[in-house]
Amino acid sequence: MKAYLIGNIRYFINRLAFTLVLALILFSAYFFYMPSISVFGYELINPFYSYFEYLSWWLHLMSFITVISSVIVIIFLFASFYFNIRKQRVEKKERQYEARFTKKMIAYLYSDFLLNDTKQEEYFNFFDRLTNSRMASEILFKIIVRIQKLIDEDFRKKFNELLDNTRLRDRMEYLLYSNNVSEKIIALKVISYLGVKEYNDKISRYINSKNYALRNEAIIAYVRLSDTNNLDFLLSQKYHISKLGLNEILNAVGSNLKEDRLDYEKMIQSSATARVNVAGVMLVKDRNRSDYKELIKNALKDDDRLLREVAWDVYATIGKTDSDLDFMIAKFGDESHENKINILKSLRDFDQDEKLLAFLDKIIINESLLLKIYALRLLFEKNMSRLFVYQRMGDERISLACREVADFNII
Amino acid sequence: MILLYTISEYFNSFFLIYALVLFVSYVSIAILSTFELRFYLKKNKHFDYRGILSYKKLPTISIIAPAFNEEESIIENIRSLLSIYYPTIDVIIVNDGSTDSSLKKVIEHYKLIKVNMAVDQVIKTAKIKGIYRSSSSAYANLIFIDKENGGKADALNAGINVSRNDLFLAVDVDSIIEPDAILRLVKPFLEEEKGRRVISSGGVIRVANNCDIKNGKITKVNFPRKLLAKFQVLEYFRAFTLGRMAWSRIDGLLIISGAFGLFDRGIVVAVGGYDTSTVGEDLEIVVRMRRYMRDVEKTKYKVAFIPDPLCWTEVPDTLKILGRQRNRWTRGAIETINKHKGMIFNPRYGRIGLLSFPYWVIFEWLAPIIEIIGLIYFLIILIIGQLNLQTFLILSLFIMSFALAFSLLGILFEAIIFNKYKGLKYLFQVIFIAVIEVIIFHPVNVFFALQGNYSYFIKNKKSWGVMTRTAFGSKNK
Repeated sequence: MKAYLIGNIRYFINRLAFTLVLALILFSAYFFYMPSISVFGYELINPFYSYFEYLSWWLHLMSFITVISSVIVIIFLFASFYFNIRKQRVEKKERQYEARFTKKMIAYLYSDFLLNDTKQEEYFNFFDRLTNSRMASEILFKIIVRIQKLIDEDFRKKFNELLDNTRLRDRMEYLLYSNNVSEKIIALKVISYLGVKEYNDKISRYINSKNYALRNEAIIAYVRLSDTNNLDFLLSQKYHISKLGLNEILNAVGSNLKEDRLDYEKMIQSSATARVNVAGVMLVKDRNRSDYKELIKNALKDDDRLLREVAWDVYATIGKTDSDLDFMIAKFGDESHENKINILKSLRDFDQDEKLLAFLDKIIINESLLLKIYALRLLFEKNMSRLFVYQRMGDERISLACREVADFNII
Repeated sequence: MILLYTISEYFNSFFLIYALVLFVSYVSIAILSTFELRFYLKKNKHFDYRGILSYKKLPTISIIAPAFNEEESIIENIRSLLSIYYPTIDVIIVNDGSTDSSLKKVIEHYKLIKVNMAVDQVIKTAKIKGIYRSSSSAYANLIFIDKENGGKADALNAGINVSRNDLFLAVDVDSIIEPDAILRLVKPFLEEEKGRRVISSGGVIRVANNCDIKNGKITKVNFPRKLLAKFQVLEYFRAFTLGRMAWSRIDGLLIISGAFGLFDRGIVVAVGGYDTSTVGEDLEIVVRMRRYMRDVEKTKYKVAFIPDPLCWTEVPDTLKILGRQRNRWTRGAIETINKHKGMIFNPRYGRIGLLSFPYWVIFEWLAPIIEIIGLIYFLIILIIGQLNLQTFLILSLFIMSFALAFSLLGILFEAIIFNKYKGLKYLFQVIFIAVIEVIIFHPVNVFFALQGNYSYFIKNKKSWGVMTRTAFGSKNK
């Protein structure tokens, strides 16, 4: 609650400052135009009035803009100098913090067996003392996220202990309730990587945010926090899930290493948004659930281009039986160029019987140059002599494709 | 006398309205770019770009770099391109009929072997003499195309024909690309902001003159030594950080720089590739792609732009070469406007037809012409004694102060956000450059733009002109 209040006060002050500057500009424009004005009984005389008294309105306006531009020039000049120097200092400080925090954090995490309570206190004091600024605490949070992301070991307990014994939990809350998107994003990362569940309500609200960057991060955080990898909440998503969101969801589910209780059927057949179906189909591949082959086959008929493309990619990966081969051969002609490539790539795992060779033969003769190449590549790997038969066929495009396959595979 | 007075009144009104609209558009650019930058920085502050490398569904990318007589730097430049991070990428160098020893040098250094590659000529190009691949596995993703000269657009088209990937990055071979540039450029394609399909994305280009470069990478950013290059540093701050960010905010961007832009290959092929009949192929292709999306695909789309400085290029530092470049830019703009004149003020094309394209016509192409007419008008009224000194002074001060404030905003953004140029010496220099720019560089630019109009309308000139560069690699060895 406190964090929420502080965040809102900060937001309000920013807005107020912006409104005041705007009001000041408008007021000065009016003041500049009048000989004098009265404010709360005080008479303010315009010292420039005598210079511009006889000017037409547009010259008056130009003069005013000139004055404002000149003031802006002076402000920008000082600001440029200030930020140029400050930025260098901040960058240096950030590097120092990063190095110090990383070193100390590794020591804190890995010397567990050496620690007694007093030693532990020292670490808490160290981090508490050095994270009194927003910059320092954000750097520490970034380090926590990085460690949790990169290292397989589960340090959540240790990190949570650190948060509980320092001001960092308050800081994290403050960032979560802030009005600044970037602060909310880093808070969501920390919360989700550390498995802190008490903010689930807030995260649910962010899942429906209009800001797609925040929405995306909230969805991923929710996936990370889900014990069962239950993605049902995606079914009620009213916003489009981007390809970036899809990839992040897949990575989050993949790294959760928890019980697979996904309702694949619901996801793939959901009419919520096509991207939920895509996520479901991709997860079938990711978790190698060949038992959902029939569901994938249904997705192949969908109108959505990306869903069909992904479904073909998945079907081509998990469909390894003879009947799958028959299905792929039967459907090949109706598919898009990209899907045809996906199918051809998957045929590498099948034995080259007459049925397959006849199919490849049809592709080499009738399909586009690129598909000819993919088909010939298969032949090159399994039955090189047939490649030379095609090369001597007299068809210029086929022989072009043959030469590429030979050159690219031999060199 | 009455007629003269009436004409003068019309002129006065015209220049006043023109100046006011221009002023409002610049103020809008400043406000919009501020909002867009703020949003971009907040959104990406904690985004882990390296995380993209672990994604399971990523578009494949080809880097296409046309090269013409680049023997001095081509080895270093290819090395720089090969060092870019991305999981599924190939680097296609197109030797566009170089007459120097570029081909020989690259073959020797990268152990290239001529291969048979089946290329579908989906876009017509000049004849390809040979395609080479490296026998060394270290350069397995390098493809070198040797073709007859056909110009930059034709070379890019040849590269597009050879590429089999989803997206392609069009770059000048002599540009230095930041290692994580593609990860940053590809992000808008993955984000699909508001469910829109991204057809192209571009990033900020910076001036590499006088920078320290080692192994194809910028190791230290220095402010250029030569005056013309200094002016262009400031010009690029304004054009990219302010101008393009603002247009991107309202999805009205019409150009992705030819030196550095990521494109959806499928859309580029569908529109017939780069136009070889124009010298402003980078502007023309984006306009044509937008037109295609509106007329044919009829889906929501976006041309994205990101403010990170991702590409460094050598800019002209002599008047002769600068003149050629600006002449070419002007001709390219006129050609594009001419080809797509049906879009101007056409509500069918939304904000592109009603805002971006008219802006390009009125404030990019016509601005130097209107400026010179204004100057002549000024001289006439000065000669006939009709000039009011006070009015003249107010207008001059207005232009100077506003131009300076606008330039300083670019400098300020650089200091706050990117801070690539460091130190007080640089700041004093760039501020001095901003002050003198209005009286030195701007008139020079206006002159070259007028020359471009003359070349296009009177001399009917179509060629690129020679762009001489200093080799980055050799300079910094």
